[in-house]
Amino acid sequence: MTLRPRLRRFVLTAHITFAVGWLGAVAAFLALAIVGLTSPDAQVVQAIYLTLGLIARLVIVPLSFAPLVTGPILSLGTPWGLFRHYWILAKLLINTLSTLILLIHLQPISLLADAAAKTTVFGADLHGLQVEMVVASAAALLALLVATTLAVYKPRGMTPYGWRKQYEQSPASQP
Amino acid sequence: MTKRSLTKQSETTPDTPMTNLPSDSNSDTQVTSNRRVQPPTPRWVKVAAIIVIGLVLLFVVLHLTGLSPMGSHLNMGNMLMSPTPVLVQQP
Repeated sequence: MTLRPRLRRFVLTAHITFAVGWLGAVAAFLALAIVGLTSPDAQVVQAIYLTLGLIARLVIVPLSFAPLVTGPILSLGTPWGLFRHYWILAKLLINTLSTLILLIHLQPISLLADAAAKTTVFGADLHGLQVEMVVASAAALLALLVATTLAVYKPRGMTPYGWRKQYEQSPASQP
Repeated sequence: MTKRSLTKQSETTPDTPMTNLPSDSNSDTQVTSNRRVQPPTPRWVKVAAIIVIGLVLLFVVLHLTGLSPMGSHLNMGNMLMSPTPVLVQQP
């Protein structure tokens, strides 16, 4: 199945919007998580973890799932294919793992948001979770930057599957 | 027989990095007459795989040894199940 040019551009636009939006949302999350960890102002900290809970559930989760839909549509609807080039495979892996890790971290995010809703002073037990928010979002930001770089540079390298498919389709392979 | 290699400089046009499509002439395939040889795995793929494996091992070791500054998710489970909140209430 090959996408028509107009539809391909529409899906591509959506894919770039979702992917870059996800990157921006994670960058904002990281900035807030750092301030939440380091700020001496208890009310600021409380506001930040309430906000982080909302950003994670309402912005980052939807934006993380959307590229997992548009990406495969885009690659399967063009000659690039989904499993033919290493860079596409790497992007798929990064996006899938990032989404899974995000879903795992929704629980500590909710815990911090619930805690912030009840009190402005966090106990030492929550310090580990506050650090985890910074580390996890920094790692996610790095992974998404790598994915964006792969999408722009498209480093060469065809998978054995892609090579076999190309060989089957090329005229030279015909008897 | 003349050995001819179809090598490519780039699969993309820098001006339109995300809108272009791969072309048949831009392949990683080495052609020797009618016989094609699959190229080896690119170096960047090997380096990325080594880095990913290293990071995963580091993550597992830090969590198993308890050296991670983030603590453990097991503690978080205790916090969630604890009848008395571990928070310090504001006076």
